[in-house]
Amino acid sequence: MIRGSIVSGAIALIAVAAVLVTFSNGGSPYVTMSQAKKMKDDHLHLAGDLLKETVTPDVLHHTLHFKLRDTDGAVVSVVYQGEVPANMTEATKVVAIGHADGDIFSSDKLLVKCPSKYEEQPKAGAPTYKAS
Amino acid sequence: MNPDPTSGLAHAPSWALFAGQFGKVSVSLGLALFIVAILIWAIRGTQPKAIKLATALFVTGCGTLFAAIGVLAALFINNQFEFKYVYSHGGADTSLSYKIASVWTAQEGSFLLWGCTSALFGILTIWGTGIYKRWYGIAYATFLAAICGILTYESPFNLMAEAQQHGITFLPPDGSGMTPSLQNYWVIIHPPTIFMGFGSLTVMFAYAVAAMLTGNAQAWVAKARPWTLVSASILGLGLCMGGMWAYETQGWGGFWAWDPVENVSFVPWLFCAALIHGFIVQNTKSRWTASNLLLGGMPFLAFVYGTFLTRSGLLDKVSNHSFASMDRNALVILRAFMVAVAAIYFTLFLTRGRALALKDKKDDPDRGIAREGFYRFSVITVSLFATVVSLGMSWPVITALRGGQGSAIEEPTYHMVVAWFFVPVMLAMAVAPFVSWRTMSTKDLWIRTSSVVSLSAGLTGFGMLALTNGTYGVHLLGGEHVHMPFGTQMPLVPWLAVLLFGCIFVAVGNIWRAVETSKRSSSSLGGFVAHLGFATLMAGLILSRGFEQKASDYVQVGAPAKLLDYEVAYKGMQGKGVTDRDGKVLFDIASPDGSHFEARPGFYMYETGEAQPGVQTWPHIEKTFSHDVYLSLHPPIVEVWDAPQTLSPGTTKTIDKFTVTYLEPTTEGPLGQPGAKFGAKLRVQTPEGVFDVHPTVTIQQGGLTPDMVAVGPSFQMFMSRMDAADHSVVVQLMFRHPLYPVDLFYKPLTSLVWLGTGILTLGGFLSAYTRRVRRTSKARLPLDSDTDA
Repeated sequence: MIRGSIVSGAIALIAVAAVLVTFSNGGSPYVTMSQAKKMKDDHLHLAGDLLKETVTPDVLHHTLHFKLRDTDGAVVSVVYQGEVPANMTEATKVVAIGHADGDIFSSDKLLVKCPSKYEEQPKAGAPTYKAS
Repeated sequence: MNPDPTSGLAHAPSWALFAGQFGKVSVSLGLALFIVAILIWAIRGTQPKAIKLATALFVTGCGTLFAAIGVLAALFINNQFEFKYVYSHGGADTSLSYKIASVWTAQEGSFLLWGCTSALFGILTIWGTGIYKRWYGIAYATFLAAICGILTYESPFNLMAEAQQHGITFLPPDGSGMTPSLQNYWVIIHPPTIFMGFGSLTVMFAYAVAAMLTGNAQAWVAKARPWTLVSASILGLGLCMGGMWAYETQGWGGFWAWDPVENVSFVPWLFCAALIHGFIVQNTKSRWTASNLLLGGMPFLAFVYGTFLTRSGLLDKVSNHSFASMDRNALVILRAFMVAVAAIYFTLFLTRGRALALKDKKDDPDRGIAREGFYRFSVITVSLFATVVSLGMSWPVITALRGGQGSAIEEPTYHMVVAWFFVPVMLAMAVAPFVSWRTMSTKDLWIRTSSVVSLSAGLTGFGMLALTNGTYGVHLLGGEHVHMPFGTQMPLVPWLAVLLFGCIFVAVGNIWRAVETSKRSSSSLGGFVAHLGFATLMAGLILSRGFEQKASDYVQVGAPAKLLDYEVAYKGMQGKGVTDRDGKVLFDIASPDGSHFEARPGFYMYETGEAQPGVQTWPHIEKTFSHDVYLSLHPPIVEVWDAPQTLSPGTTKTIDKFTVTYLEPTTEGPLGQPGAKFGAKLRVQTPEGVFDVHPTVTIQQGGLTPDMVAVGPSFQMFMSRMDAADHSVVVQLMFRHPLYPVDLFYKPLTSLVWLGTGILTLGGFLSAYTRRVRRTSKARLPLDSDTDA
């Protein structure tokens, strides 16, 4: 009984440790633009307030240009490659996933957050992921 | 409703103002009633008269919560927009069912709904608690008091400051309306269902607390068990409905995205599932007393923690569900409740729970293979998995503690980890029904299961062949790999085969045992059915996501697009203009087998109060048993250039693939007066050729009226203004016909998701019905029965 508990406890510990390692390696870091410039990872999360008037689609190149104000307060130009998320017009905050390309943040995935009216549970399921 | 002579605004009716006050007072009264009930139970909890009084107060307290939600619904139904909550989330022109659903579309209302569902289960259970009533009542009432406390600060009954002037409350004519993306039938049925699940978690928690404080750690099992089954069934159904909602409306083609809000409801379900199996062992072998006491509180505590995590703004960046920031005082109550309850619960467990378990301790389990071992393995694995998901959803907070902004765990990382727990649990779920409670040899077990293993392997092989065969489905692209932990990879198809085998093994094993035992007893049928449903659901989720194919392109009038093997052609619009909420864009889709169907994704535009209108689209899903064709529509594109272009006479400008030369300005009619017409002769080079065009703008009473001129067969142009001094013009190039960006997903066997949900829910309720406490017979099963699955 005791030996069994020790074995299952050890296996459980190993499993949790392995999960922690995987999470540490697989976690996608949130950055500001100044941090992004120093990092090589191309799965960086740049979160910020969307400057709505700057949203301009470029149909011929299948891209979307917009600016956001990151958590440092810096205004960053983002070039997003892919389909425009349906609720982009309602968005107040966006998380652009990608990498820094000089002074421009190049993204291939957008997580769009809409105003506080979106609040509730209802929409279980749902990042507006649009991988191109 | 008397219109005010000065402002023309109607006055708010006095009944509504009274009702709002009544709602507020109800919640405060509820708080007071729960506190008094707690005090009576605590101080005079041994006297029958006092217990009766406390129970009456408890039930009345629950009633005040029902009254409050009833009032709130009435305010929504009668368009009482002088209330801030009603104004922000309701609208005058929405249908009755949406008006009622508006109650729970935001923070305040959802806390009220949680309080009400929990109160409902409180009323349903309080009279059956027997020896546990005193401490059960105290634990339960403490939570409801906390909810009432939160609601006094986070009140949906506050009037809008803007609606009050000179002591008069005015009635705004309309509210801001329900967010368009929520306007779907799921908003009516999903939140009440899942909140019933959340509300029912309080029952297990209160029983576990009562069992530890009363000192009887055995009798609670029979009482709490049916409610745990009810809870798992409703919560499971709610989770599935949430996934279906996402699938049917969000347009990204999936059911589950490991969003923190999803995980918050998933973790309690996992703990419920573990607890159900813990109860079976305690009921059959009188063991696991301590672990069940610990597990009993976990579903509720995990949900309180998750609620705190998602509502506190800590996960603001990560979740797709953004929450309005909570009232500070309300958040303080939530946090204090969470910390205090968790501290008390775990202290109780360490000081009393374990001692109780030692008192009731039975002999060591038998050596060899026995069903209890499988249960132990499964319960530990499922509990660990629940812990891992909690860690994952807390990861942004945990990593932020190290400084910086932290990092998030997303779908691919979850998928790597889930399999470690999923595969072993599925194997245990398939084999356990064949293992008896008494020990048996490995050889005996193999004899009993070998046919099931072979049959499952055969079915898996057949299934994979059918799925990867082009005649039945869409060909896999080939060479796809899935990421495995520690940077390794595995080819997709064999990996899906492993996962599918797990599901088929569980399904076959449980059907097999259901048939075998049905002759003797039907009491474990619910368990077998639930397992079959779970396996079916998982198979649906795994196959529809694993074999998913996606293509994206633009569709235009007269220019169909080929996506995967489907030809998508624009057919027309349906509805009363672009603002019609039932508006559809019609596409004709030619399937690879030559058959056609009409796809009707929803599309409409609405006012946002800003320059650009909002666009709402709904995907179209063509459902068949073998696969779904999922067409997701994005807002149509009409403008060619990023922004209008300014041109000066005599200059040439190249934007993208278009070159425009401004030849000369033109004027017509009386200058500066209505009827005057300004124009610009332009030469435009497009990929289709060179075209001379002459866009103009006419001064009219209302302002400038531009006219649209054709630029070759595919484009058109309009001029929005001309500078009077230097004759420079601002022009924009448009598509003659809008471009419809569409995604087409091919998803095999999504039907299994719906089927599995139904079977799982049926199995859960069947078990709950079987395990309900009967007044006549003592629910006690003989050892080594085959009954508990």
